[in-house]
Amino acid sequence: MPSVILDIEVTEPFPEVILDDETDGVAVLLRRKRRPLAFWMEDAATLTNRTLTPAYFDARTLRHARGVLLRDSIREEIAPVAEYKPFPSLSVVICTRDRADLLARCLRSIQSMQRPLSCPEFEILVVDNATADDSTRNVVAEFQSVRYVHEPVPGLDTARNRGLQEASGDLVALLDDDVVADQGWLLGFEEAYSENPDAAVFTGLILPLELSTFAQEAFERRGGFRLAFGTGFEKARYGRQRTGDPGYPAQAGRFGAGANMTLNRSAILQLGGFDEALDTGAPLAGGGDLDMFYRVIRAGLPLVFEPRMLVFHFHRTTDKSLRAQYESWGKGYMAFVSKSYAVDPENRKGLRLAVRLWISYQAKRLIKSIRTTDLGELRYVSREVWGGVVGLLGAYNRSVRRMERRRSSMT
Amino acid sequence: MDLSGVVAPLEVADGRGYYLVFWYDELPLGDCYVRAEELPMSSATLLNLASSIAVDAVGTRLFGASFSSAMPPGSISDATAPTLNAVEIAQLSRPLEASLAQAEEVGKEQRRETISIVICTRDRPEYLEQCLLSLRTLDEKAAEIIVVDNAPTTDQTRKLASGCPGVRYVHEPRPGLDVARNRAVRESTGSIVAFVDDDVRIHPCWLRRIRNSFLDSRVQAVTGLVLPQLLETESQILFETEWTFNRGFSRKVFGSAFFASTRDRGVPVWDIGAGANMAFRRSAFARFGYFDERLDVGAAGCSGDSEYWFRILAEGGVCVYEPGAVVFHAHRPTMEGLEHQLFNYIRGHVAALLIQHQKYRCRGDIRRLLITLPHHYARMFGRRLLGKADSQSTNLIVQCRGYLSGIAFFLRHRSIPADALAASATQVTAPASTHAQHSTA
Repeated sequence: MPSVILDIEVTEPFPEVILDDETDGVAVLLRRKRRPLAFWMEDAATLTNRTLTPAYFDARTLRHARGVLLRDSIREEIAPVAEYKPFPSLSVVICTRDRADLLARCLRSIQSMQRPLSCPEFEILVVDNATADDSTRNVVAEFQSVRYVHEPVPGLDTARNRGLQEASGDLVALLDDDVVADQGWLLGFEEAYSENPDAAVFTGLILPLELSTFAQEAFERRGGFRLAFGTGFEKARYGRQRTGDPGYPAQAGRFGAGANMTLNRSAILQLGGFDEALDTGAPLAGGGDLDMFYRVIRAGLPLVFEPRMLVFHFHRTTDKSLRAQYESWGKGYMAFVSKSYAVDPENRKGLRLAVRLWISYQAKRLIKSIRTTDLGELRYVSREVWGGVVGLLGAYNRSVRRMERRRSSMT
Repeated sequence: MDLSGVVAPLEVADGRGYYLVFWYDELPLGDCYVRAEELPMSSATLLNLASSIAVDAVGTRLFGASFSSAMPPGSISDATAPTLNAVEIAQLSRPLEASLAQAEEVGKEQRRETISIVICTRDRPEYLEQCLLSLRTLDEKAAEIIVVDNAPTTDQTRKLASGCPGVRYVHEPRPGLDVARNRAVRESTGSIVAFVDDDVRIHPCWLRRIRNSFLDSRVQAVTGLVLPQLLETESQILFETEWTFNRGFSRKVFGSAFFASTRDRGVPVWDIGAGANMAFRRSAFARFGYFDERLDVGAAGCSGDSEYWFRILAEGGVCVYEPGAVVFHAHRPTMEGLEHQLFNYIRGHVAALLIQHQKYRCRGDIRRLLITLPHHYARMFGRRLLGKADSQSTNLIVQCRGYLSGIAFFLRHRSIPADALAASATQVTAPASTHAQHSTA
């Protein structure tokens, strides 16, 4: 099943890549001067040749990226002097729970990120969430200058809030423990911050770290974490309103994902931080990021997407866990919508519209999977829809009560 | 907004948005609307936006039509356009500079075509004066400037034109824009006849860009970009967003492939340009005939220009849309003015479809007349009934009246003016004489 992932730089001569017999596909991340430009996946079976020649890369680059390629060189021409404002203090916070090996990989990638010239020292903080053992603590001890905090109340949003409280930086980058940051992440952030010093949230591109199993490939082929709207390789700046964008800002997958988000600490704290009844782990393991993005936008604060802030995500390896992920997406989305429906009555019309669009989108995918008798796809979609139904039927309120019980049992 | 200089941020402007046109020096590259709610906008955001928007204009100029996926079907590249490859795009260092150089460079080896500028007008001296003033800013001089005063009711135009040095005044008593244009062609001496409307202002590089576009001898007609002078009133904004004379910022070459691939659905000749900014080789009029005087203002309402492009394409000629040749049009400030204009557009468009069919028998024109347009109006009507008013359906009744009126107009004017046919077509419609010629030969 595995696909190889190739990282191709267009300003260097295209390589010749020979696929071995185990490899069933290729995924290509194309860059220009290290900036991500395009990503595509291809079945080896559809290739005429198992050797990928420079001509192959040239033809595919033309097909997928000629516009963005030219766009970047135009931008370089009209905005050549990149005199970025040095950004204020930054804390990188990683919330984790009993995944020491993943965490170690994540921390290594953060420490080896390329530093901008003007980069002040930044803090790295690990929030260990309701751990069962001291494996995480031991891993952190191997890294110099990484701070360790233990948050006993289980829940990702609880841990994120703890991270926000503990962080000393004005800006807080929240990365999931199952990502590896691209070398250029910090340069991308420097650019995004310099262009949008007023933004409350920065999100970035999320691409696969590996495509070794069927589930990992299926997830990425269905769009992965790439933005559901637009290509995901264009910078974007979102404000309170967007004309001609029905359901805005309550669509799922509109702005990016919680695995890679950087927040203006004081602005987010003023909004009350993350909603701890979301992202609690089973049975409601999602929605916290959507809820945060939504509240930021509704408060009139800018949200920025910067493709250069790239991370690679370690996708779920088994089909079973992937289906569970889709269920949690559906559930998390609808829990977020029903919560917002209660607390943001001004935008009820917009929320209803977003839900209608979500339903019709899922229905289309469902019908298509039935018509093409794609059983795998049918199972993914139906799990997400099922999650949505549960989410709509009071999942949020149940979660609020559960978190109250959790907290009172801790004290 | 000139991208070759410093780009200043956009400030909040008392609840209003912006219409932006991005230029590199004197080359227009793209446009966009920035809504009031998106303000203020930083220079960095503007530059990012501009880079994305300019891609198509720059790509098609440097690499030909195959660069863009948004070109009309059957568009062709100039003979000089390189074959597309990614390495070449990746190695570009200053694409905007290269585009500008490309737009200018052609001129250096240009055969010296002489250009007659023609402005047809009627009782609008205040517009005409602006137009004539703008002609003085041209960075290359025209061989002559002809003002055709079409069936005037006052002598103001005569006074104005005779007060301008270098302007030739021609009085054409028979009303009709195409009558006036034909008169101008017959009066003109330049090897290229360039028409602009009296309600435009002309960009300084306009003449040079028009001239450059005629370098290829197959090119019979050139059109240019028409930008709005003002977007102040509701009707001006409605016109620009829903109807518009703007045919985009990418250079396009329309030839027989475009004609062949669209003829069954009605060749979208109106995409080629707008009569407010167009030019022809004077020798074309001997080959393709003169403007059909049944069309345009004073007759059916409009489309005399696009019917002419239709003839050029049908006869195997080439038309070029060159966005670097810019004029700025004064859109009607009032809704009544707009309604009147729309009525004439639809009426002229419908009449032109029938006239094109009369001359060339392309089923596509009839298909558009009897299926595409009625279907379009029915859908808009349906949406109105459902309460989904969109801006294009605002003047639905006016448009439907224009449609019916266009058909009625054609039925009343079925005979083709003798000079409004291509030379080859004259032979076909007059078989007796050609036969006689052949037999004597």
